[in-house]
Amino acid sequence: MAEFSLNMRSQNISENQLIFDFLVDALKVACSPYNIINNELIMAQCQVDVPATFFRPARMETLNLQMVCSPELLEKYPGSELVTRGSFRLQWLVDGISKRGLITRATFPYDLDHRKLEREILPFLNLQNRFFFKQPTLFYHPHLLVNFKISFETDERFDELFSLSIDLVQGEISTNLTTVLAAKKLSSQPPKKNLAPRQISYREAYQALLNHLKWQLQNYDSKWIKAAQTRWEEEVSYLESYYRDNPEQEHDQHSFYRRLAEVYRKYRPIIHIQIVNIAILYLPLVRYTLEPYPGEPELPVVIYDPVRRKLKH
Amino acid sequence: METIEKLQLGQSIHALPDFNPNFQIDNDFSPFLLEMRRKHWDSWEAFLLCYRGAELTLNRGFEELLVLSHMREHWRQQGVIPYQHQIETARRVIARMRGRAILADEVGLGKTIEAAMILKEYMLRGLVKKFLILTPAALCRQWEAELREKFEIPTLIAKQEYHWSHYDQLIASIDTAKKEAHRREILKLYFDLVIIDEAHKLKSATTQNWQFVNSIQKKYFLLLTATPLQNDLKELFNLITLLRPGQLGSYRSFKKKYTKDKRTPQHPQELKSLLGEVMIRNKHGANMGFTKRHVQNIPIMLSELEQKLYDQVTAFIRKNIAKTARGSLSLPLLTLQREICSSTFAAALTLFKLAQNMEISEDCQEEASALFQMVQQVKDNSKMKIVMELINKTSEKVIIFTEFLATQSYIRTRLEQAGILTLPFDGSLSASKKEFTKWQFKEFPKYRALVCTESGGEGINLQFCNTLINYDLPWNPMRLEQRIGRIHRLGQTRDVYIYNLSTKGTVEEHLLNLLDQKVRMFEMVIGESQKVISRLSRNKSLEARIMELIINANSNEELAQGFTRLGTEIDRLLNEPAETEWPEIL
Repeated sequence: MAEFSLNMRSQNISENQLIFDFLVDALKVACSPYNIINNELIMAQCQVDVPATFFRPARMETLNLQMVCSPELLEKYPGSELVTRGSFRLQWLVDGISKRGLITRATFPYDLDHRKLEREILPFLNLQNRFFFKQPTLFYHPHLLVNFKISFETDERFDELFSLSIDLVQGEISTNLTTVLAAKKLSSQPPKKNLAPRQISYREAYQALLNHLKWQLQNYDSKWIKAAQTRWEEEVSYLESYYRDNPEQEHDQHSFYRRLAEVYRKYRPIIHIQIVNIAILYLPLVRYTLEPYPGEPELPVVIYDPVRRKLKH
Repeated sequence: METIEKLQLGQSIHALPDFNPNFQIDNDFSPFLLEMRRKHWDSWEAFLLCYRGAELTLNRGFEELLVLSHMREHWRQQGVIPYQHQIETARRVIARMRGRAILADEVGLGKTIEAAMILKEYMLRGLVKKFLILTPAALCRQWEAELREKFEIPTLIAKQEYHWSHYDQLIASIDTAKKEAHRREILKLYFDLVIIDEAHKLKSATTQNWQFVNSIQKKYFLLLTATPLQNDLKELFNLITLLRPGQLGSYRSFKKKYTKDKRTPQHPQELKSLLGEVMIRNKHGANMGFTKRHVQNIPIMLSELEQKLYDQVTAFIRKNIAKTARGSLSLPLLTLQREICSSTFAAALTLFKLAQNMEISEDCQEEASALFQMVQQVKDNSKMKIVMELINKTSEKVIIFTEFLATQSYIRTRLEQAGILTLPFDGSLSASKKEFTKWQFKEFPKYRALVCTESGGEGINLQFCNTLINYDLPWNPMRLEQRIGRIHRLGQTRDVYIYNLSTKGTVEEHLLNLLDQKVRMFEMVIGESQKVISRLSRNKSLEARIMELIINANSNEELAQGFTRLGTEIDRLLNEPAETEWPEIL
C-alpha cells in the first residue's frame, strides 16, 4: 500500500532539512523564543518541567539549546547538539509537543465563484458547451479524520502511519486526507451556514474506520509475517532436535511445550494500532444540476469536491 | 507422560495457534472523545506538527542502531566512547542473532556496554519493556550505575518479593532471585530481555542456578562471560543449550562429533562456525583503543631490623613447614610468608595467633612469640617511604593495592599522618558503601589515595585514575591482572602508570622477576596474559608451584634455583607449539 508521507511531501527536501523545519515549527507551537543563524543553527530557550526529587520540589527550569541538523555543522558551531532521526533531542521535542495537536477542528473555506467553478468542473463532465448551470448549492460535510500509527511486531518491529477519514453524513471512507490538506489554508471555526447535520456518531464513525483499517492491514504486504514464520520454524526444528535426541535427560512434554510457547511468543506477529491524533473537518461539497438541451433527458445531479478537485455522482 | 522422543519433526508447530497477526489497540478513542466534548481544540498547525513528529520518530528497521544517535549527546557530555567492536557486536546480536547471544569478549573490552547498548536499542524500538539483569551481588550497584549514568535507564535492585511484578526494569543478584519465594514470583512472569552477567557460573546443567535461569520465560537473552570455556567442552554445550537448545544438537551427538576428549575439540572450524551463530568473542588487538602501560619495578632495601626479621621468620617457616609437611600448620605458615613480604604489620597477627596456638609444639610457640616481640619493634616499613615519595611526586590520584587488611590499615595510618587523605576499599564494605567510596574518591580532590585489598577491588571500574601502586604482589598472576584491569581498560583515556614495589632478597624479588621477565605480565594488555597463564596452569596453578618451591627450598640459594627452574619451564612452555586449544574455537 502506498502510504503517504507528510514530511516527504517533496522528495528533494533532505531529511536534515525536514528535521530543521520541524524543530522550528515545534518551537513556534511551544511559544519558545528562538533564533536561526544562517539557516543552519537554531538557538532556543525552552521551559522544562523538572519533577520533584527527594531534596528539591518540582520546578520550571530554562534550558538553552543550540541545535544543528547536519553532522558537518558541528565543527562550525562548537558545542551545538546534533539533532537527527533517532536522536534524543528530536524524541524529546516530539514528546514535548505530544500533548499538542491531539484533536483539532478545522474548515476548508470555499468561495462559491460560479465562473471559477465552471472552469474546474467542465473538464470532468465530457460535455461540450454547457453553460447553463442551475444555481449550485454549497454545503459542508463534517468528517472524522484519524491518524493511526501502526507497529508491526514479531521479534522485530517497524512502524507505519495510516490516515483515514470518514464523511459523517454519507459514511464514505477515504485515505490520505492529511496529505491533501497539509498545504492548504484551513480555518479553525466551523462553517456558519450550509453545514449538513451529522448522521453518524463519532463512536460509530471511529469503529467504522477501525474496521476499515483492520481490513486494509489484513491485505497488507505479509513479507514480515512470512520472514518471522521462517525464523520461528527454524527455532522449532532446533528445539525438536534437542528434545528428541535427549531421551536420557527425561525431558517431559511440559518442558518442551514451555520452550515452544516461549519461542512462539517471541516470533508471533502482532499489529499494534495507536491513535496519533484526531480531527473534525468540515469540507465543502458543491451540488449542481445540469440543464439538459431541449428534448434531452434529465441529466444526473453532479457533486463536486473542491478539496480533492473531483466529481462525485 | 509421553516423551518428546515420540514427536515427529514439524508436528509440534501445529500444537500452537497459527501465524495470523493479532491486533492490539494500544490507546482508546474515549479520551479523545472526551476532549472533543470539552472542546479543547488545538490548531490545525499543531495537529500537522504532531503528525510530522510521529512520522520523524517511526521505527524503520534494524539497519541503523538508534541507540547511537539517541545517546550521542549524552555520551559526549559523559565522556563515553562507543568502540567500533561494541557497535558491531550490538548490531550483530540484534540483526543476526535475534537477541539471543553469548557475549564472550575478553576482559576489559566492555561486555556490559555492549549488553546495555542492545538493551537500550530494544527499549527505543519498543521491543523491551520488562527486563531482568541477574549478576553477582557485588556487581548489582555497578550495573545500576552504568545503566543510569551511561544509558539513562533507571533500574531497581530487586530485593522484595513484590518488586518482581511491580517493576519492569530490574537488577538482582542471582542468589536472591533463586530463593524460593522470589523464584516463584519470577517464574510467573515473562521478561522481554534477561541478561546474565558472569554466565560461566551457569556451566553445569545440574545446578540450581542453571535450572532456574532455564525456567525463566524470556524473549531475548544475553549471557555475558569472558570465559565461556574453562575446563570442559560440556560447559560450553550447557551454556549454548541454555541460550538455544539444539544449536549444538543433543549432548550425545555433540560429544560424538565435536570432542576428542573433554578438553580437546575435533572439527574445530565447524564447531567455531556453529558457535559463531550464537556467540561473539572480541579479542584484544592493537587497534582496540588501549592506552600505554608504563611499568616501573622499584627494588627496596630492607632496614637492618626488617631484614633480620624477614630472615628469622623465613627460617622459622622453613623449619616448621618441613616438620608439619602438609599438615594443618602449613597453610598459616605459607600465609605468614606472604604476609612478611607484604608488611611486618600483616605478619604480626599471624605470629600472635601462632604463639597462642595450643595445637603446635612448645618450641614452635616460643619461637613465634619471640618473633612477635621482634615484629613489635619495627615501627615503620621501608616500602612506605617509597609510597610517600611516589604520591608526593604525582598530582594524580593513586590506587594502592595490598593483599592484607593489616597492611591496608598501616598504609592508611601512615599516609594520614603525613596529611594525605585516603579512603579504604575492601571486602568488608557493603555494595552501597563501595559505590559511595568510589564516588567520594572520584569527586573529592582532597582524597589522594584509595587503598584497596583484592577482595574489595573485584569488578570495580576506576578508569578515572591512571596510577597504581602494587604495595605487595599476589602469587596468583590473574589477581595481578585483575588489579591492573581496574584502571587499564577501555575508557581509559590516559597512559597508565604501574609501580611494583619489591623488597630485595625476598620471595617477592624472585616473584616479580618471574612475572615481569618470564610471563611478561606487565607488557601485555589485559587478556593476552590470560592465554599465557592458562597454558602455564594446565596441570598446576602458578600459585601452587610457587608454594611448592617455598616448601621444598631449604635455603635462599635453593629458592633462587627453584625460581630459575620455573622460569626455564615457562620459557619452554611458551615456545612449544600448542595443540588445538580453546582459542581456536572461541
